[in-house]
Amino acid sequence: MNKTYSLQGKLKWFDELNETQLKAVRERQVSLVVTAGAGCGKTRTLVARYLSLLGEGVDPRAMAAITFTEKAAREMRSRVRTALTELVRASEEAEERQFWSALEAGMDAARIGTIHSLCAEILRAHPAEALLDPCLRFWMKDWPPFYGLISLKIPWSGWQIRKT
Amino acid sequence: MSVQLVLSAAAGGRTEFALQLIRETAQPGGLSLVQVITAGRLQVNAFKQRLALEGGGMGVRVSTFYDLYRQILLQGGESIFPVSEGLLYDFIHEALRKADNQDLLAFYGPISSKPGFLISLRGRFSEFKRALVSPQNLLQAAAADRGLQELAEIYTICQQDLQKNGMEELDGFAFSALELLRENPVLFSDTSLVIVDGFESFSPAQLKILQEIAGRVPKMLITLTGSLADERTGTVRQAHRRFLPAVRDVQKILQPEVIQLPERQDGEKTLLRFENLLFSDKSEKIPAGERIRMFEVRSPGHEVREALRWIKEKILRRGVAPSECVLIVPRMGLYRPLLKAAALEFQVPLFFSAGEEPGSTPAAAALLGLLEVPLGYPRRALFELLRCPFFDLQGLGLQPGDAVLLENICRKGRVTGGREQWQEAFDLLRTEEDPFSETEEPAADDLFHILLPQGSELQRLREALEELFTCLEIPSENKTLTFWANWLLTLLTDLDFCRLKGSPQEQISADGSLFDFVKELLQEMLYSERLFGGRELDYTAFTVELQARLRLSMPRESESWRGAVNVLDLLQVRGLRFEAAAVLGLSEGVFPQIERPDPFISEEKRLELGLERQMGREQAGLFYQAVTRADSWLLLTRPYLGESGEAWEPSPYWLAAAALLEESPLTIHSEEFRPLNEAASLQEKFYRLARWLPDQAEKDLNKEEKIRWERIRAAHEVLAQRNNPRPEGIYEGFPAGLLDEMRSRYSGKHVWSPSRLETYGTCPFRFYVETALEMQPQDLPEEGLDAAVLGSILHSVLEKVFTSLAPEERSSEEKLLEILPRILDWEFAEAPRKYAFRPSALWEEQKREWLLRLKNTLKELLKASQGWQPVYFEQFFSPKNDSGLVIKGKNGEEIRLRGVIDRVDQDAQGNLRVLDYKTGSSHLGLEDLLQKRRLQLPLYALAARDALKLGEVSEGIYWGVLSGRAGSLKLSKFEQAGLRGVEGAAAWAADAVGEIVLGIRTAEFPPLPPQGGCPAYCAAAAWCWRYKAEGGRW
Repeated sequence: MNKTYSLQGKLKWFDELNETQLKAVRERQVSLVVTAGAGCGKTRTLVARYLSLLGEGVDPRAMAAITFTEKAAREMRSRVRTALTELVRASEEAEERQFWSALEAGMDAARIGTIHSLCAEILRAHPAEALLDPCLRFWMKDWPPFYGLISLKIPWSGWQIRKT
Repeated sequence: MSVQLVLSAAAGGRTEFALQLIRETAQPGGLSLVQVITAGRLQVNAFKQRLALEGGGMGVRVSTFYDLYRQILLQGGESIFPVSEGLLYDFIHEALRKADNQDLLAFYGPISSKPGFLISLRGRFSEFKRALVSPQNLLQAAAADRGLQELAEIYTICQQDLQKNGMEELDGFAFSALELLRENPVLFSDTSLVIVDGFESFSPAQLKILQEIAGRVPKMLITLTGSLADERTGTVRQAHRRFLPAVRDVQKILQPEVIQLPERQDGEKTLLRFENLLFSDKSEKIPAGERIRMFEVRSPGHEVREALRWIKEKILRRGVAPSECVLIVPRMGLYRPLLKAAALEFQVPLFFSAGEEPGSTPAAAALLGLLEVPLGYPRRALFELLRCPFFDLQGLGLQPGDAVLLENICRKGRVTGGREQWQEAFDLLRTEEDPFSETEEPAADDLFHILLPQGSELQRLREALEELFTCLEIPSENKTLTFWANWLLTLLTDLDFCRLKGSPQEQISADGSLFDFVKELLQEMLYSERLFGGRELDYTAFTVELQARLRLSMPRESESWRGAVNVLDLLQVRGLRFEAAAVLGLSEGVFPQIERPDPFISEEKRLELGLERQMGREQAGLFYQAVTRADSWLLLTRPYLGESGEAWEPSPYWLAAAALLEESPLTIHSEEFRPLNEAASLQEKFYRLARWLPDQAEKDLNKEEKIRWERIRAAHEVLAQRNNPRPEGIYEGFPAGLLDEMRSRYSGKHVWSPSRLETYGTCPFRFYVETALEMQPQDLPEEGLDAAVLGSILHSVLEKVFTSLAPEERSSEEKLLEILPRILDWEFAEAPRKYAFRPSALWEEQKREWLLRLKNTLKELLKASQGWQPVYFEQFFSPKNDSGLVIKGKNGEEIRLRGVIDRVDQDAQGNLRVLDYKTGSSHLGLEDLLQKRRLQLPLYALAARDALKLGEVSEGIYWGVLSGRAGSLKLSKFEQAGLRGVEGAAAWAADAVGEIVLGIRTAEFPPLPPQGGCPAYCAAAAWCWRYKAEGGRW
């Protein structure tokens, strides 16, 4: 089993999370919906959960963090990066430092984005299945997320999806 | 044989170490050679320059790996032709076709015709060759991966075709070079030293070549950035991680002696410390002073301005040569246009090492525009050709400026396109002695009249245009590619394509070479025809093929231009050194870039095959490499606001750099005060004077600048008035200087038409522009007829329908509908000539629709006319025939009116009803009268009674001809402010006329958009800032 790393005691803001937030960070058995008013720390909780999953050895490419706007996606990626930098500094063991440091570099490929960008990535990664031109840059920019449905093989999207 | 691997920090003296070794090895007059291999063309030039500075490069050969492959093939007597980019696409296209015919493409077949698939294959095949992956290797590696199997099949066919024709792309030369090296042990026996410098990684092909050469030369020196992993922890500094795979590969394949150079001591201290601390565990701070600056600015556009300003300061005040400065940009596509615009303004010459994609240059756009012209000579494409700086049409007799004359001929002759219409237009002008004689006398300063050519000038233009049309003529039948290629070459030669004058140097080199590039493309097409069989195609298919080739063509790397500031991307800059370097785009999402997996080959398979990584590329190493390019001054910039004004997070590299400096990054707000002496262009100087120091203009500007300054002041005044919520001043409809002119022109003698007064009532500014200033937009003619002409036709038809019938027949639906089609046919047949328009393709359909509408309107009008008998039609009232309408103005003065009443009906009691036909059905209600937008009906009622003496008017209605119903306003029902009925409505209208005329005579024309918005045909629509389009569109 892979070694896991805790965030406790390494990130000041993590240590300040309240009990409910920590429950949302640590829950692994069920799907969660977190609701709270503006400024109550939803994004902070999400970032903490993301980081704690990374600490448990989940590959950043195996997670998708979907935000409503590009700005929110940039902000979240930036917060995760900053936290990882702090974790590198706060880790006393070389092995742990190396662990967080590798994740820091891996954030360039992390799936943090809007629903548009996630759909675009799925389509871009499977041009043959989606029957689309592989150079998505030619046409993807202004597509509504609806077209991402073809990647989920939803029949009423009106697209013919080839069985592979 | 000895192989040394020299490692050091970035800019740590490795090249100096190599040069020292060359000095020791290359003896003047000696026969042994030194071979230097660097990463790219720029690095070759830079190395040669350093060699020259060190005393010369006799006996030293500096090349890239591609040069080396060619050199090996040449020495080994192997002849392989490098395949051009376009032809390579043909080979891949042909391979796809063959694979499809053999039913090999079950997976990729459905997307095999998409251009992006072709582009993707081209990139993958090159990668395979760089990794020495042969088609057989790939087939074996594909195993059960169906997609990869198909790529291998296509790759196999493509390689077979290339080999059959003795061709290969440069990356593929490695296969043969390696084979030749193995077969021929003599190769490189005359070489005493091989230096490999300026790389950050090696492809498997490059490593194998080095391995072969290493065995036959006494000494090989390879330099790389980085350091070995810490023996105790096995870790390596984050800044050096990117280069670790290359170090390990070299160690594994060449077993070199590793030399780690000590930290440099001889450079600029601040920059050396910055390099030393970046991405390290040390938590020190550096006083950066002027050596390292960090600017946060609003947008990428502001970034390039600040970076260029900083560089211009280094050039002008610190004496740094432009070629010693570099702008390092993470996304060339984003920054190139911004840099070009700012550099032009700042007068800083730029050199972009990566040329623009040939298909995206202005010259390519001109070429594509030219190809549209022969397809029916559409007017827009023709005028673009006439005005295009990339063509010189003087050889055909067309002079610069002729486009203006031809545009006027086009307007006069209503040319919408096609050679025949031009001939008609020239015929029309030739037969008209004075084209204005029919309408009115031209004013002495009438520019349009002056520019409408006649006589010999007209003949010259006709002949020249005919000659151009002849040049552009195309056969209608299918022809071979050879025919089309020759046709286009002749045409481009005749039109002197790409002979540019007065363009910036960089643009000349980019665009000027396009003709050569097009020639190569056409030759490729011919060669492709020979290789893969001939086929005949029509002109459109030929242009589509040419366009596709232009768009697929890759940018070419240019040689350095010594007089200019370099603009390089993050990879091109490796191994180069500059006095001043600016790194742009340090915000999240720009740099580091988001990494995405290869859609064709999984990351695991890529690593197994030895292909370049797509993920985990350690972009921090790229940043480290970029910031260590500066020997004296370093600037880092980032945009802090996104496209929609939201905060833009900094890049982690920005944060890492900022954490090392004692000074905080400087946030530059565009609205902040900036000193005059930091202005980098005249535009900036004017902006700063205008924004913050207007009183200083007198002192700081020379005579010529003062003239421009006065213009800016005037523009500022216009802007201030436009921005004022309340219209005021001469630019917003209060031209005090025209007061006397307005009083005199619109005195008591002036005869008004109600529609002009309505224009003022709708928007005074529109009246000012269209009537007082007589300005009209100079639109080019379009096919079809506009709303005004349609109104005239419909009015005329209705008049003729009624007047052609005897009075007793005018109430007979049967008679009316019987005569309507005949009158309509006659009117429509005459209309194009009478109203000077060209029927559009919809003309016949429109005629059918109008016939139905008119039938309906006649039926509905009969229903609405129970008890009324039409008696008068098209009744003119005008002071000229003593029937003008005169009403009293606000100051008791007389206001004279003229007009035409469409129809007057009479009832059994002798009462009259006034009818005014309207094409549209909007703005025909009471509110429009109250708002002074519609005054005609009550004024016509007044005119019928007082001017024409037809009798008492008891009713008045607007009739919507196309809608077939009356407007909601009925004069008999009018009731407002104690005024009632027709009499009351007329009094209200007369009062409104008085107000309007007073406003006109006192020169008050404020722009007041009417409720519901302004009409699209308003002459000020394009530039009035208060214009609000009907329907809420701005």
